[in-house]
Amino acid sequence: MTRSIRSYWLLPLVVFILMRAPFDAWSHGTDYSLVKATELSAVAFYYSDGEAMAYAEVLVFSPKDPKVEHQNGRTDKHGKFAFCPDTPGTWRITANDSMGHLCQATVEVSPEPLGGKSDTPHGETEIAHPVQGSKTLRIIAGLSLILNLAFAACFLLERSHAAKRRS
Amino acid sequence: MHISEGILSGPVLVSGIALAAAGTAIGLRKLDVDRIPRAAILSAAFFAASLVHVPIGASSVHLILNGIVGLILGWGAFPVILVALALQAVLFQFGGITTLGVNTVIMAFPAVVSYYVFGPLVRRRPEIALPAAFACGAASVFLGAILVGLALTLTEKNFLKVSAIVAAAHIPVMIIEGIITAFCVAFLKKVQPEILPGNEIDRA
Repeated sequence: MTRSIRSYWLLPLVVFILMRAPFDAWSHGTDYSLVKATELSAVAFYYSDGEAMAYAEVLVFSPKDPKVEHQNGRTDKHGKFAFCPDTPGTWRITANDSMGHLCQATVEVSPEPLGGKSDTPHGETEIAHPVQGSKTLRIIAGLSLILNLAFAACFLLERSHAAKRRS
Repeated sequence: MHISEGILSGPVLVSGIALAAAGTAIGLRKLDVDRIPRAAILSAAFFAASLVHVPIGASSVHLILNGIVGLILGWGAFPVILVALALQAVLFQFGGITTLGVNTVIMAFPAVVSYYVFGPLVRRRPEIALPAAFACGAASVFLGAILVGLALTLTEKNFLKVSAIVAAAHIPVMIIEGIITAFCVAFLKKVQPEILPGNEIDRA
């Protein structure tokens, strides 16, 4: 019985020690805070026909380390991706849809203090704009060019052969 | 499968241009007057097919048709695909001008390989020809995906992980292309079988 009473006291003692001990495990609580819009840079990726590059794999490269990505993730369903640059300079963002379509954007982050009081987001982003103009007309133009090229090639070759036959 | 501008390194771009130029020169020599109308139609089909997006899940793929182009034209696939890609780059910013050589090699080289590998099979009886046509369409896309991965890997090691999944990501395209190629071959066997390779292997 004495042994069992001792073991009963041991358990709360162990729990007390664990709760007081500075283990890193106790720091794994979670919380969040909202990031100011001025600290964000966002890029939208889309295909040349205007369709968004949804869920494309994104790699963000900092000016400090152009080899190892600073951040990775995927664009949202509208082809948009946001990140928080922590260093001034040229940031490079690549989006790959794993179908052989790659797009690269650059964001120039100014050397002003990051997270400043300005209302406008810092940095300037180069974004590829969708091609303007009627898609149907461009398709017709392309097909027409191909057929005209073929016609010209046939015409020139026939003329060349006819000249050879005459000579 | 178009690789965009500013991604590939200089040596890869130059190599692509050189290989595309060589392939196009060979293709032009083998493309005689009788086959130019056929080449024009296939170039137009290739041009239009890449603009047709097929939604698959959250993403979409576009048709390529390099298998059927290679099957019918052989080395003539190089100039045909080069012209179509150039027009896509100019009119739709599909791919790029500096990457034109690499993109041409990526799509035309598998077409030529398919011609030599599957060409002798598609003139045979349907039980052999149709599966061979399916395999031709699928293999052309697969080989193209491998070449995309190779071009990306040769450029920058960070792309190695990305290029490893390019081939897997093109599996739906391979199946669709295989089916389309099989349908095309089945149709051509009925209406104009002399278009299909077989006796013309030496000529191409």
